[in-house]
Amino acid sequence: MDSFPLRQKRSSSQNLSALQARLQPYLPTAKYILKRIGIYFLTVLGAVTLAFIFFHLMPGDPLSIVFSQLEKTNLGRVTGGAEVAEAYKRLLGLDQPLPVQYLLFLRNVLIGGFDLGPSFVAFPTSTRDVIFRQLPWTIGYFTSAMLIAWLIGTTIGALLGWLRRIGLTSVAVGIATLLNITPVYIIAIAAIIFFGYHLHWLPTGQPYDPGLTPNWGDIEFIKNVLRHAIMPIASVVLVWGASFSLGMRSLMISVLGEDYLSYAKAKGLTPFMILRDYAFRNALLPQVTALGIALGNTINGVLILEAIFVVPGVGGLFVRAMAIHDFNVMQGVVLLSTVAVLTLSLIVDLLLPFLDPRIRRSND
Amino acid sequence: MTPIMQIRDLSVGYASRRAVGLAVTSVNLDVEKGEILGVVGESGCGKTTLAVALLGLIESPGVIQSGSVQLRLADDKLVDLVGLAPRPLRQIRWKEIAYIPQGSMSALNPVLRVRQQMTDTLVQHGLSKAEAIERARWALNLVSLDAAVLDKYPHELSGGMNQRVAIATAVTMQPAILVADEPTTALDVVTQRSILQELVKIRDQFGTTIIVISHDMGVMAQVVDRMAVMYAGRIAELGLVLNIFDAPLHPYTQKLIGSIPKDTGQHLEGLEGEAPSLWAYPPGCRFHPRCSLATAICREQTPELREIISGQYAACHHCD
Amino acid sequence: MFTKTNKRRNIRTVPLFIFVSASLLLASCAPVAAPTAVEKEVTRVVKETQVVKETQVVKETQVVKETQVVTQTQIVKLVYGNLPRNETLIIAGTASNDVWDTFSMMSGPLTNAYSGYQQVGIEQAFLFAGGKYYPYLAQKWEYNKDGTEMTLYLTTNATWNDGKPVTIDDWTFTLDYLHANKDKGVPFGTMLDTTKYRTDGTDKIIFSFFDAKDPKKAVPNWRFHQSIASFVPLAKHVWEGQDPLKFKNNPPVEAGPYKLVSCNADTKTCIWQRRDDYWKKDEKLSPKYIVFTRQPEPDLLTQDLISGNFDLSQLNAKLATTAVMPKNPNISMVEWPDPCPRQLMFNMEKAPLNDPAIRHAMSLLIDRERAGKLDNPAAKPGVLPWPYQGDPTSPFVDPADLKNYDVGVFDPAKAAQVLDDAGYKLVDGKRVDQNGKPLSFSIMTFDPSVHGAAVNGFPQMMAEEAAKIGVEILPKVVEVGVFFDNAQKGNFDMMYQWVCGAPQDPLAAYSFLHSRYYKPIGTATGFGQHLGYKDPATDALIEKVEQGNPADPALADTYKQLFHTVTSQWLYVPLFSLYQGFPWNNEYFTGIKNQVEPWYWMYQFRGMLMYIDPTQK
Repeated sequence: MDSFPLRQKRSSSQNLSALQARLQPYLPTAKYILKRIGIYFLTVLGAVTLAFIFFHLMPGDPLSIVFSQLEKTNLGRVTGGAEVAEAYKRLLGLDQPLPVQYLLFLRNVLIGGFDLGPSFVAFPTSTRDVIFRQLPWTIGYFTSAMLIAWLIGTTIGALLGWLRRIGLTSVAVGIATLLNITPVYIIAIAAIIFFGYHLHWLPTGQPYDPGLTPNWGDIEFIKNVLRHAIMPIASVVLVWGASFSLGMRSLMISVLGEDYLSYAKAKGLTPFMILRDYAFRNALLPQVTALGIALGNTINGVLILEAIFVVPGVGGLFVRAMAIHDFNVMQGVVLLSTVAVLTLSLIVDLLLPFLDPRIRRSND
Repeated sequence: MTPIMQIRDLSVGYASRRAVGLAVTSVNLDVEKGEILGVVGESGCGKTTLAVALLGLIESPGVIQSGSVQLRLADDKLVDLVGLAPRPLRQIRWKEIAYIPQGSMSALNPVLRVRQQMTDTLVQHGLSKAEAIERARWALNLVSLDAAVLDKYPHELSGGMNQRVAIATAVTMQPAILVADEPTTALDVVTQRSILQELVKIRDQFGTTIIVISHDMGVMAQVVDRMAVMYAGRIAELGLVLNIFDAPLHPYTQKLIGSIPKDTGQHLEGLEGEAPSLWAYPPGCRFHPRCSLATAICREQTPELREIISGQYAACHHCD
Repeated sequence: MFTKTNKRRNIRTVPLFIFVSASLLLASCAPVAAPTAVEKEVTRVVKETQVVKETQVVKETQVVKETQVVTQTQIVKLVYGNLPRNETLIIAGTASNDVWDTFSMMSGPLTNAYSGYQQVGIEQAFLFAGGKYYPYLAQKWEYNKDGTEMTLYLTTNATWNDGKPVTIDDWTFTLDYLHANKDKGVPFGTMLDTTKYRTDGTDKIIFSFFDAKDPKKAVPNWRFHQSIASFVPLAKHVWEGQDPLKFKNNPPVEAGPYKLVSCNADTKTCIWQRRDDYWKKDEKLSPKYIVFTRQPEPDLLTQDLISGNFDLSQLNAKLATTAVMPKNPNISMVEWPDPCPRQLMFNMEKAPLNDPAIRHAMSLLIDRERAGKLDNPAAKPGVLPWPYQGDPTSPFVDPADLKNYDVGVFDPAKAAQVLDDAGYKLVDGKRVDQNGKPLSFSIMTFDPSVHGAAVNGFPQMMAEEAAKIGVEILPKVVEVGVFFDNAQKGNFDMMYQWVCGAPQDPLAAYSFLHSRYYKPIGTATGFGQHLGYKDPATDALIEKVEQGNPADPALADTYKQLFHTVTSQWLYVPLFSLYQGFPWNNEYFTGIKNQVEPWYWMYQFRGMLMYIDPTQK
């Protein structure tokens, strides 16, 4: 401010500059946040456009595929031929030229609250309703499982890295490596056959017992849902937790080689303080970014597990949509998971400055 | 005078699968109370390993093969830093022997504020939070830094400021000994000078014993009282810095001093060849492959460090 | 001298690590280890026996204990909430269905009925099973002499499951309602384009048939009963004023024998309960409850069948016979002929596939027995384009054709001979056509998870055999959507297909060869065949069959000529039959094993209810 002596003559501008001075430390952060949010909206727009282009360029006219499939299987209830196809085209908005379709699509998705038109898989239910009907299960099963896996995996990984010189940890690392390379469905099927069919300890599939009426106010129902969720969540936690722990372990080991670690030791800090303030905190940063992306990816479901555990998730929906070229639903699922990944990485990006002060200055 | 620290037959090595390579070999050294002792040598000569050993920070694959580092406490008790259990070692650290790291930019944790990094060890040693902050302010003041630095992160400070923070951190507990490992590397000349002056100031003010590790003979000349020249894990020459600069005894020291740029425009003497790796030391005198005076005895017998002139020691068969 | 490392410094964290991992281990084990009651295994006493009553009289504590043992033997497992297992028929499909709240047959092709979740609730005019029409909502039909009119006699005592009677008004409402919504693709929507109806107001509807272009011109339609048999009238009081694509008919008001209890999108399970007021009193309806659920994962389905959790499922025959039947003696195979035998189709517009000799050779290269066994060890190759049992004898087939044109014969040596005779010479180990171009064809199939392993097995086997005689065959597996797209555009050399002729009237096996369905290669849209086949003589034969009365023995000759046309020119050649067996659990319901007639997939499941009996267990 000293370089602007003229301005200092006015007292109000002095107040202003005082305010500015007070805000000064936060300005880089504010700039950073604004920039990130701007990039976020541009990326979302790009993703919406790409989704539209991609699914409209896919080979095959969805209607004729559906109809011919029916015709060939002799279940043909479609009797009207071309005019019926026209009627359905109108209904699904396919009769408009592509640019108009695109603009309508943009309007419906961005302003109309994710309105993607009717689904084909569950016609005439709207795509939004079909996806949002499945979404809570996907989030409840896989996103939460991923979160648990991250918490457990990161803790164990940090300990494994910290205790890297102790022989016993190599056994744990071996187990984690083994789990990490095991396909999750093998663990899932083994768990079902063992705990479900042989020991009869846990239910084997479906989100709750089919005889029950869903009632989220009923503690018995919630208990039932939780019991059904144990195996799917445990499978994900085992495999992903192992992968997170291996990642965290190597991050820890690289941090443990840093100069500030031996400096902290030279200062006479206890191992616990070093672990907490110097090693864990620094190793955590890349791990948080990994969590953001992993969480976003669970939104489109862990398809194979949904099939094995008969979970009504988004992944299975996507596959069924793909089988009959329901590009409304496919677009919806792809968009949703893209937006989820983008949103979560935005959240991570916005959180990182609080974890890592270096980022705040990165675009000064 | 009784030495505050006695290093006896200290050998520190790095273990590979087959063998242990000794980075520091049978070093004997007495550190006098209140002196500034310099340890100088080329990179890889073992001086940093020696510093790390003095701090009890040798970690696998590093191994202390033999020897002792006796530290004289205020009550005249001797403590051997080698083999000390972790808990008492932690108590001695910073209170008795503090450390100014090489390249403080990477030695300070980038995600913690200076405040926390300066005070956590004080709190650890029993001070209250307020006392610790008071002490930190005082220490910063001592190295001519504003207390506002406390709320900064390391990346928000310049290299010189970071180094001052490191010095301030080191003196917060007013330790008996300070080990400064290359305290001026990567700093510009002006900053180098002021940092070194801080060190001298601290010694003058508190009588702190300072061990300065550096490859830079210029640094030695500026601050050090006594100097130990290391070559390939052994001490080649030891003596008052003035005497050594005046009349270096060991051929290696002579070459080192000869390589300092002088204002006379004289041609710089280079040192031919490279320092040996710790996995393949030559037999006999470790300097003999590069030494112009080398004879048969140099190839066979290891020269002992002996007092050639009063107070000046050298390990050479040919410096009588 | 001593060695010293800093290892010791870390040791204090070991207890911490052990504590954390132990608590994690405990946490993950705790819910697993806790023996909790599984809903499916809740039991209840269904009936007390004589023994129980006697012991209740005695008031000694020891005997009271005994009664408990006795009642234990009388318990019946409860499933799906509180359904007694021995009165519940459980069917596990693989259907990937996303519609769970709609019980409309109207909303296009994607309804519950399609996946088999609704059919025990609905009632058709007639049920066609085992080659016979059984009367349900209609009693009988009568054609006039020239086949231009058909009288349908309705059932008069039928009721909807909400208690209201099914009347002729419901029928006429439905006919008009469907016609009014024909542009929405509803079933029977276009029927009134070529059909008029009139009623007597009580129980008779008289349909008369006319030419679509000239409504005054009456035409015969001897197959009208075939289509009207599957007509499902709608309840007028429910449907009137509704948009057929949006109305969900939930809870479903239908005239069928079962009423919906619940249908759940989360568990993918629908439960139906037998109607106490079902109007057809002589109908055999053994299961009190019918549960349709879903288990698409073969490994787990195997476990379910071993445990007796399901009565009928779609586990493939190979797994069922090898993995399930040895472990659960109650399981037997229900076998029936494939209603739509699989065929290999040719793109006859592409040279040299337009040469019958090439097609003949291709047919000789198919090892049908081996391919079929990939899915079902007991599979027999089918040679007719309709389902049949045992010998391929039919009034519509001249046995000489089967012999003369190597129908269903695997003989690579003869294939080489056929190619030699037709002038496709072997040059440097490769067979070339007259222009010196090597013979190379692709076979388009799709994902084996849809139709089984044989779908992709046979092209591989053919490719191996073809390579031996110098012909290149390229198996081409594409995604289902792409398959149909390519099929419609004629973008293939050879492709896997299925043809669903009816044994009593196999018109569907030929009608698609009529030139009115012909579409040139590359024309993208519309319904038709892109096989590149056009022949006026064949058209005439097809038209003759279409206009004829299938009950008329004279039509058999025309059918024989059609079969000759297809086999002598190898217009398409048989591959194998699929779905020849599904496991059936005889523990609670039995009788199905004697069922030899086709029961057309899960869709026609309703028809097999008449065969099954409870085991009284």
